[in-house]
Amino acid sequence: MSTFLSYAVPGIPFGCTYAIVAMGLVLTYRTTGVFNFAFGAQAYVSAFVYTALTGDGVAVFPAFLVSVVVLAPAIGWTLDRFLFRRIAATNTTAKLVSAVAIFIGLPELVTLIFGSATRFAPPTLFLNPADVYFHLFSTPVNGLELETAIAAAAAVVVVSAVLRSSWLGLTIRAAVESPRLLELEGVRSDRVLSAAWMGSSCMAGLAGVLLAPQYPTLQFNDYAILLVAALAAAALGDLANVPMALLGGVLLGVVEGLGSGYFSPSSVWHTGLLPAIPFLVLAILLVTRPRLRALEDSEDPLAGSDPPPPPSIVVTRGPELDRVIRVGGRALALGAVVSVLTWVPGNWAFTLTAGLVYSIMFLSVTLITGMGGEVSLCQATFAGAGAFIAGQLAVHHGVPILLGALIGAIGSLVIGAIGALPALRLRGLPLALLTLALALLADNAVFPYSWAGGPAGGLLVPRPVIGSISLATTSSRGFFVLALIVLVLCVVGVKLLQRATVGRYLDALRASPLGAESVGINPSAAKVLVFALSAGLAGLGGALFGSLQQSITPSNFNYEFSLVFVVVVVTTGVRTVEGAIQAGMGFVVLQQLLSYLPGRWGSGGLTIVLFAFSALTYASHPEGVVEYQKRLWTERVERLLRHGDPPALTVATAGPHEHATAGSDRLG
Amino acid sequence: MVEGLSVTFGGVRALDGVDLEVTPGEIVGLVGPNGAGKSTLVNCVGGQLDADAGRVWLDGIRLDGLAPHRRARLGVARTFQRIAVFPELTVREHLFVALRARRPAGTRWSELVDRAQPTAAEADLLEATLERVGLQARADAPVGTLPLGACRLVEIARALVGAPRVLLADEPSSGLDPREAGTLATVVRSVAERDTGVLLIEHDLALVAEVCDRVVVLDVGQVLAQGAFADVMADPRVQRAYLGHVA
Repeated sequence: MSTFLSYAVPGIPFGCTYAIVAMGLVLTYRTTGVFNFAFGAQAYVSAFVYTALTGDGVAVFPAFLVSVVVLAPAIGWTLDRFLFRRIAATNTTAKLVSAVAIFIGLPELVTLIFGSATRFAPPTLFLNPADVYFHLFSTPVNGLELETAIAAAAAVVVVSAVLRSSWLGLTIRAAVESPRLLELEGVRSDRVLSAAWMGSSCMAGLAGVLLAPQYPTLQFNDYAILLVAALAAAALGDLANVPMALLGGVLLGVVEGLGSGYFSPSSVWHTGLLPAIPFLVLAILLVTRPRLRALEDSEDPLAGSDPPPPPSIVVTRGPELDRVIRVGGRALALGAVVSVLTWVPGNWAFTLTAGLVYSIMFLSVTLITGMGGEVSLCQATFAGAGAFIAGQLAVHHGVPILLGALIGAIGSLVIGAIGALPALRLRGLPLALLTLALALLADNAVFPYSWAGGPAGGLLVPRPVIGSISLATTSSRGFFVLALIVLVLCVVGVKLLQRATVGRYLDALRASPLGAESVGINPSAAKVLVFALSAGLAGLGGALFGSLQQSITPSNFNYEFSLVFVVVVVTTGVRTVEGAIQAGMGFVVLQQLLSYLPGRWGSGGLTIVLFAFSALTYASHPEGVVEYQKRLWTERVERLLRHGDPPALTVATAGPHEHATAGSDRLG
Repeated sequence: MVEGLSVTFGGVRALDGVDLEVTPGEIVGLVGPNGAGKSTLVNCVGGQLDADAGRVWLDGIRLDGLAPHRRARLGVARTFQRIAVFPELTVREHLFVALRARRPAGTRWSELVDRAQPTAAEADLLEATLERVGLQARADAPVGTLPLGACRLVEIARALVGAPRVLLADEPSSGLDPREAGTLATVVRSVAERDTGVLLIEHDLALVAEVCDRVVVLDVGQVLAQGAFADVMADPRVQRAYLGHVA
């Protein structure tokens, strides 16, 4: 008993922070329909400010006030007011992507502003972590453990008191059903939602500040794990039941404590299983709990009143303009290719080659999200599978890297198809969460092994040798040609699928699974197909990426990249093949341009921040920023054309406006 | 067609041992107050919902337990109370998708890369179906741009295009203007003439009286009465369920 408790009690502080965040997750999800991934980042920001302030000699209490009572609700209010409120209730993808964008953008922004110096554990709030306050069956309970338990209990008491008794609680519970119906009753539901956001963000901040003293240094990764553990806890309560979510959070913490006590630190269980427990729990719950599957069925009776998205501008623009843009676009692409092959300096040739490879990986997002209508948060994992299969085959079995890349793509395709099986009955948010859990499982339990992710120093992937031509030099323009050919093949393939009968089936399934099934479309087959093809594309791109980089480690493909992939592609335009290429090229070009900036501004974090914050415009332009700009510019040009010469729309009239046309070309 | 079907939601018995048959070419009206279990019944036949007990047959084949798309390929077609159309597809594409997807053989591999063009025979069939519901003029408009009444007709056309064995229409006339309702009545009759059984859920009793061969009244999950429209409506139990008193 005493051994058991001595292992279990240290898990309690973790469990309590999981529980607090889980409660916040459930609260915002039930009131606003937003599953706020950003809580992980918000907890980190509060922890960061608290750590920074106390590190600068500010007393604990004012630091707590600033970071938890002022800053955390302010962030929540801002997110609600300027972002989530503008997203249509039925647009699951927009809500999910926006939250993911905040989750990856906010910590990068903090690092950009305050630098990435190591910050050590801040002091606890009100109890001394070293003191033992009492003994639970002869197991000592220290200040840290007692403090988090007290804080969690206090948060629970406050929240349940508000929800149960006050008018605010009543309106919050009404807003759960339908904020729009609540407005019809004369209640300002926006204020109610603001209050819910501020309250739950405050909880995230509290959890962050409570968690900070438990780790020797402040690392964002710990907060990402906090989020996933809270997700698992919330899932235990079907994302609806607060007491169950709380219990789940505490239990998870305790189970982790027990695990790290009973498993010897050198065993496989300790290194592989233990860090993966929250993800495993989350994955199993998503697959087995029927109520979690039903999450996507909207209950808002007024949800159907949202207008459908406008059709793509490529379809609606005039034929003359269409020709100008098509010809111009091809000329631009040809010019770029010729430039890379002739005069562009080596580092830029490398960058643009990387852009082509990213475009291939990003096409996998176009396939699964743009065509399949599902958000996958494990595309980088599929890319990693392809890269490691190709790399291992080349390094250990002497398989030529191009053949290896093909095998890698097929392997990844098979993994994707198998991965789709547990996801067959899921869609929308639960499916996205499952893919995230799978990505984290791979990160923690597969890729760290040297048979998979290669040795610690990196897996040395060779460059291809085709006949007597070796593409081995770093700035090889030959690799550019190779990547270009592969990309063109992939683009042709995806476009063929888009225009095929099966492409129409996917359109139908995306719009209304219910209607599509009723006419005989098999949703399971479609899902397996889309997952498999998308994983295959990602795997192929990943294998080329490995060969281009020549050395890869698991950190090249961890879950954060999956999140970045989705954010970048969705921001640029997920519905078109062009969007993926623009995203791939834009991502690397921006990164290369920003690398000329001094100090931490040039370190790559800024690219992510820029993309993350442009993802926020996704809420108002669900077709993607680039797609939106294309529409804007096309309409402007068309207006100009009509204004200049209304009766005859000829190419000649387009002449004087070539500048504007070229502008939309660069974007399109 | 349906034998002893029972469904429970929580503690509520939505359907309690319902038996119902629709023969080929027959139009059966399914009426009853809100909450009687009409939509639940249709969902059990269409496969959107699994019944707790009972069986569903179509031409001697057991349907219960099959996925909705399997039932669709066997000949069950339906419309939805809250319309389930594909806003970005045109009317013609709706019919094309339904026609292709409903073939019993399923999807061919070549359809991964074909150009999604209907064959000559398919194109004729699509054109004929468009004409039946009077949507030729709007055939190439994205359905998201059409008014509600037209969307209902699109749903019906989509259900009809593969010559189904049975059509389940869940309140098809709600949201239709009188002219569209007239088209609906004509379409429903023409469906039955082609040997398709029709189960029509309707609150518009005039429409039921006009087109249905037989009427089944459902109340609190049980069949209250069935027979010819006039006989059923004269039944005091039916009047009590509908009006709260005997007229």
